[in-house]
Amino acid sequence: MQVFMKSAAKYSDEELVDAIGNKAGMNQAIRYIYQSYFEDLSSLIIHNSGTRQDAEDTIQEVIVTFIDVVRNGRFRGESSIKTFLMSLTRNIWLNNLRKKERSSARDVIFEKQREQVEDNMLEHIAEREKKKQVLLLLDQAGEMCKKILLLFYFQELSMKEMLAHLPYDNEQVIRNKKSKCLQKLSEQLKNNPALLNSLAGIMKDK
Amino acid sequence: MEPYRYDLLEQYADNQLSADERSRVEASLNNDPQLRNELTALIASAEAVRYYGISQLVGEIQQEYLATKQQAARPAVARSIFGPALRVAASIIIIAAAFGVYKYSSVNTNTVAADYYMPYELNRVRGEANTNTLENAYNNKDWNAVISIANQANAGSKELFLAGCAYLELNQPSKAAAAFEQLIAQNRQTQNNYFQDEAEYYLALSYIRNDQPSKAIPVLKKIRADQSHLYYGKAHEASLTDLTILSWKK
Repeated sequence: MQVFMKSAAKYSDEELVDAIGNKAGMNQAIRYIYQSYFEDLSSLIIHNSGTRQDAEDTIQEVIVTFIDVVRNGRFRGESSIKTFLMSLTRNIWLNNLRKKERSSARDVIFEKQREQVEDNMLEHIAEREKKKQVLLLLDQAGEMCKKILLLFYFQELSMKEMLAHLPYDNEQVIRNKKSKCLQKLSEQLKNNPALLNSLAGIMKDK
Repeated sequence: MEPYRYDLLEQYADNQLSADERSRVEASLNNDPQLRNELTALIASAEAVRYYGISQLVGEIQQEYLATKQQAARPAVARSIFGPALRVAASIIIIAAAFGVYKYSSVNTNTVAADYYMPYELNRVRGEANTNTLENAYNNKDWNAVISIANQANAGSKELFLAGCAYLELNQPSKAAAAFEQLIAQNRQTQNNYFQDEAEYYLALSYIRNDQPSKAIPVLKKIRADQSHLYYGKAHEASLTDLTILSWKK
């Protein structure tokens, strides 16, 4: 694990939360999470009727959800990050088992792992399901729109910085494109009032 | 919705308004449920984009983690079986020399290329239908379709990179190298870094496959000198000595 051994810094829980919230530190923070917790999370799934592939798929979902929770200021730090991740893994894996209808295995987890360290764990999972639905809409917006919106909202680049990444000559063109792309996505969302309402509920809770 | 109101609302959602402008928008929001609905849709859309970005980034890092983990596991097995024998062998210079001769005669383009090769797996968020035509073609191993999409006008970094990989899969390393070179040149021109690390590594691999080891060596040395390079571990795993021997044989 040369890349991880050499590049992942050590973090306390508090430092890790700070690094995730900081654009420049996020990559290293995610590497650290993999280096420190992947094996434990993987064992939890494999020892509860999961395959290695199940473990990889679920852990990816767990870490995306955790990063999202932290970035939205919803990680309350009532438990350690490791405990939180284990609990999230258990709940997401349980959810996935339910979808796969492996009920006997699900019951084992239910009985043995009933404790819940964060009472809003299920809310995080429900929120994740809603966001996954919006991702499907994002796909329909087209590659260029996806790229423009990612540069602006995820990489947090200014219009001027975005010029270097896009085949357009001036900032105003990019600004107009970004606006149209966001509008397109937003229109699609409005066509799904049930999803929009549940997202509105999530945003109100924040 | 009138365009000027939409612009204002979008800037409000993006937190780009002055305090006065924000107050004005908030006053309108209080009296207009439709406007509130518009704002919710805008904020949720922006949030979904951020979530998508996180999903992509985590997917890439997971792929990197699993690849390096797999690489680390391989030599451990070899050491446990051959460790004592190698320690003895190392003390006998003649055997080392014989090994050198053997190495010189046994190294060839195919063995070195196999050491470096790692089929590129397109990262996607597992379980989510976020693939487009290009990604579908690539995931379905429809290499000619991938190349055909990339040959269309305005091919971006991703199209060029996947076309290069498709050429490699079709065993056409010179065309693969041309695609990766084009991507790197395009990135240099636009100061873009999309697929830069991937293109550099697979360019080196294309040179090796194309029997041009002397062109591969500087590219691999650059990767091996950069700890933050995505293929740092993979470039260190394979032997530069073998590649040098290959270049001597030319």
